[in-house]
Amino acid sequence: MKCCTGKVLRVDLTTGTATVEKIPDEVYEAVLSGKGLGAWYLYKNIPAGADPLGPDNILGFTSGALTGTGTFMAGRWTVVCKSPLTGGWGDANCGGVFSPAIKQCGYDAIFISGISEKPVYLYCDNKGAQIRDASEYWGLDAVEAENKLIADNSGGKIPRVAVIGQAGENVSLISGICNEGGRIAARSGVGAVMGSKKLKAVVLAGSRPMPCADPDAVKALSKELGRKINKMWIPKGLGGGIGFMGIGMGNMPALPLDGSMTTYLFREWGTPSNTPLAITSGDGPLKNWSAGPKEVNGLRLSFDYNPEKINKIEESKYHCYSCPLGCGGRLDISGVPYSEYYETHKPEYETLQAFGPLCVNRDMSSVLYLNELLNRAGMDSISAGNTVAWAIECYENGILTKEQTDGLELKWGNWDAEIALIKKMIAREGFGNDLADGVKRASEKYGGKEYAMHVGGQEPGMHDTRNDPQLGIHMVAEPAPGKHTIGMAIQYGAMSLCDICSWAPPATIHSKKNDLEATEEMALTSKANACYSMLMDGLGSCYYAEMMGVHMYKAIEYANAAAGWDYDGDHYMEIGARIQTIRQMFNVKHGYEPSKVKLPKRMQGMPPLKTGPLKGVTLKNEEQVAMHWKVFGWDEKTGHPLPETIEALGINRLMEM
Amino acid sequence: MRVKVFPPHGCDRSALDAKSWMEIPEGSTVGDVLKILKCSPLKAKLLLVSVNGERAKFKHVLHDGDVVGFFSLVTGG
Repeated sequence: MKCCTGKVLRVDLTTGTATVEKIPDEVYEAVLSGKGLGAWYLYKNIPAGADPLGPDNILGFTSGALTGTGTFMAGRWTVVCKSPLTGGWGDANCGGVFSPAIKQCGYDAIFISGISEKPVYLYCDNKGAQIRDASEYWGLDAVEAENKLIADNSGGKIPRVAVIGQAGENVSLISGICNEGGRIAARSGVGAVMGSKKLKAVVLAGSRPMPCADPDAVKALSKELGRKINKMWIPKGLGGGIGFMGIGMGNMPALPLDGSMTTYLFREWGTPSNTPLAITSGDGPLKNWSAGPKEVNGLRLSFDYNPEKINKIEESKYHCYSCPLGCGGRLDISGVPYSEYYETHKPEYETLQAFGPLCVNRDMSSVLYLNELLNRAGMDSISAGNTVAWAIECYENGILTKEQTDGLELKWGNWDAEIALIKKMIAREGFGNDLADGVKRASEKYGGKEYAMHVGGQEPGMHDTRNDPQLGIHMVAEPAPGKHTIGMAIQYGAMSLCDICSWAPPATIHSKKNDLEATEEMALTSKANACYSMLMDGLGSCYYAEMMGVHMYKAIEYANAAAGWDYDGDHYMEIGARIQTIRQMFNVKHGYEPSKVKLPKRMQGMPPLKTGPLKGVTLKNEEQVAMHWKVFGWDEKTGHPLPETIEALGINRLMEM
Repeated sequence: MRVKVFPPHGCDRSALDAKSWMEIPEGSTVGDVLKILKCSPLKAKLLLVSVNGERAKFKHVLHDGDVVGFFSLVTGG
């Protein structure tokens, strides 16, 4: 593939060795790079039954196939491993500048196995790789460690760093891996795997050129996309009214939308634009997934989380590598009374929702502080928020006592207690130690399993499956369950996949009631959604590029230009299906049984909510998941990929390479 | 010529095919599309319009393959 290096770096921390491995071109043809390359490599090389926190687990840092080609919005790096949180496939991805740094060292991916006896970091540049002592960095938070590593290694090019904070060092199963001052690849417990290997950081300082078959063609596509994004506009003053829009959205059928329009919102406010909308529309879970907007005074709460308030304290906006959109920002939080920090990244919607409305917390400034605490510690805010909400509900219902919570008054809306609990979880101190491994394990120890929101061990993203039954399919059927970044109905409505893929159904007007049935069309929709998502992950493209739709973000044209190929959409969607199938084969190989993964009853509407836009909704999730598996060519009862599907996708031959 | 249309709520979608494309005469404008969709003038005033991801006015002349999006401040989701 002419936009990849054709090589990966393999590091064994037990022996302290690093070797370069060549990857056959057929592998890139079949699964691209990024998550696809990671899936192929890990399926082949992690032995069945390997301990996720043991030496046989492999932690992979992968760049996307389009990274460094001049393609816009293609700078995502993906971490892959066997997840200690679920016991199956694990991955997480992040923006920033780390993905091109992998390629600039001459690799498409770095795969790390073994366990070091003492803390180390991996350093790579044009000359090769070295495993270096990290004793002086161990114990620092992710921001401190990154700054020090850059300062200590800045003889030539400024290095790029992926690093764990205290949560990863403490092998918290809900910890992630950070870069760029606390931006985090958060999910699947990838930070715990890095911590278990005693690997503090990966520091990359290469400067090799990144290949591309037709840079002029890529440049032309990017010029067109950049011009459109730069001409984006939004109605002034919309921010304060987004909560009102949510009321309309929650009560009307949803139309397919021109995906380009999502870009306006992200450019102006970033993902916090969704918070007020989510509170009032039914998209965002409230009070640990138990309430409608009315029960938490949702409209007022939506004003508490007005994104204009965030923009007022925004010091600067920033862009990820090769991104003209720029949804990120740095906020001045010196005015937050309990914060020892002066600034933080603009929080993502997920963090705002998880520590705000999910915990009925009206004080947004406390969430800004929590955002910085979690970013520095490298702890997943989605998992941590769901876990704190569980603890509050248990405390309110007498399942947890004040003695058990180390004296914390865990009541709805008590943000002081939220902050104190998070600090304990990061430090693995007292009650916090039991919550640092997520809600599943906490509820197994203390009870309150009916309040523990997790899917297959992983806490769900902040989008309510009762509002979007299609997402409910993916929360369960996705090989890394509980994720919100794949399969939303609104996303499908924006992407127009039917215009590039012969079998993808057209997006239709959908309502919660229509989306409850297990139809073949629904299953084909969810399959198309998954395949395109895998394609974008293989390319290294951003979720928000995906949401722009195929007419604005021309992923197929980009891939053909960068790789020197001439494939159509159907071919690329088959690559997506192949990646997804290999990830599911990984699960089966490691004894993760897809059929045992269920949505919590509350997320299925059992019993249904009594008020609000989700009133009376009960999902037929199990039937829909079975249908989804069936159209994927997987066994509809077990979720195992069928032998004929594996053969048809050429995976058997691929695994012999 | 054919254009892809993301119509607003409450419009007549009969001119659209299953994939939301519609045939229109050469030289048609965004306003002409709204007329085919039988969108009332009052409702049209509340709409934001994009053509191929760029802001457009009702008098914008369309071309074959254009993607026309309408965004209403009162919408479903």
